[in-house]
Amino acid sequence: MSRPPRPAQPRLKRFFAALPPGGKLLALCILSLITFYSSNLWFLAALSLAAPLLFLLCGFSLRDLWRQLRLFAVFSLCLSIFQLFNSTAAMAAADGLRLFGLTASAVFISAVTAGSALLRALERCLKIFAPLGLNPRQTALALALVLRFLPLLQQTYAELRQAQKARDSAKLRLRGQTQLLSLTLMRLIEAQENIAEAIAARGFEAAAAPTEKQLQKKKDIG
Amino acid sequence: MNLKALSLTALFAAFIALLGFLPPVFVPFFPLVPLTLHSLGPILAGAVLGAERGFYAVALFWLLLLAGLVFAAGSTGPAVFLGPTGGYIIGFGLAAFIIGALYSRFPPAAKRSPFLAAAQEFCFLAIGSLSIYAAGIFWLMILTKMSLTQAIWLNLLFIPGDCVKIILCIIIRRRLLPLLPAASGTLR
Repeated sequence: MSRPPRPAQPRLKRFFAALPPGGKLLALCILSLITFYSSNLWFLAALSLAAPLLFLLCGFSLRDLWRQLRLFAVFSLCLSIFQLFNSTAAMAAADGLRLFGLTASAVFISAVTAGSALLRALERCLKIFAPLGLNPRQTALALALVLRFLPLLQQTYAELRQAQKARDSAKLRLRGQTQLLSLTLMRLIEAQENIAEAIAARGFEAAAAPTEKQLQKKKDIG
Repeated sequence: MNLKALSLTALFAAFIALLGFLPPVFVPFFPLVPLTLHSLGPILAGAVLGAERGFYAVALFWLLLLAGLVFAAGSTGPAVFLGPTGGYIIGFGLAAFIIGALYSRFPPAAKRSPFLAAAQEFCFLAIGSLSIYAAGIFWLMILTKMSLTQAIWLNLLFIPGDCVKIILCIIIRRRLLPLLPAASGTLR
């Protein structure tokens, strides 16, 4: 049976998706710096309009846009109203627009970049810190482990919560919540030991990989 | 760091992320920053794993948050760090480090006096939580141009909730401690 053809992505989305994720993160950092130091209402308004517009032009629906940005839109509106009582109307508008424009740009970059690509870019960035003692290989393994544990934790939490609800139909109180969180962690601490042993059995060492010099020394001793 | 310690650290990073999936509660007079169970994660990581590993667990959470794979205060991606909650999220790392350092420098002796040990732990965790407030207030002041007094007054709303989280953290830590020597040879 042949698969139905996937709908073609808009050219603009393909263009943004193809850009290197590290470059996109860097661009966001530069944009945030410029935005923080700018109080120009025209620039901030243009940014607040451009990011949602790009989001729509990349093929996302208005519903998607609203779902992604509603929280930040409410935040920005509340901030503007709050600032209206403390400063001038222009300043209040600038604060609201600055927050909305920046968060909308960040949401846009998240939407056009795959999570895995962003993660790989972050791992590459971590290599800069290797001389300071950070082990990028270890960090990559730790990130993979977090992603492995997350669904396990969610599943265990949901199962225990269900069991607790079945036993005690009353609302989940503080004592129940304490038990629930402790039990979830206790179960997973046991499970993570097995996972760590399984990784060790596959020959992975968490410590940094030995250098050629160290390997040669080992050979010489052997 | 050995593999078991690494996977335990990853587990705590996942736990911090799990708390972010629980829905936030918005305080009526301060809708900018919602009330969540989230800050329980880093203070527990600091108290159980120690300063460096606790901080490392939070750093792993930051990376996943930046990549948009986990949630904080109902949102994800780089936007979280640029929004009003960004300071609090950065403060998580500070809190884990400070709490871990306090626990290792002044270990609470529960056998001598359980009440005193609990009071001591409460103080450590409160100091750690204050560092979350400090980072959050600093960022709110930059972002919203609020005065220090205004930002402090608004943050007072979170204190009762944080006291509850500190008590939760003490109870959970005491339950987990007997399991930890088996989980990692280096942890208390």
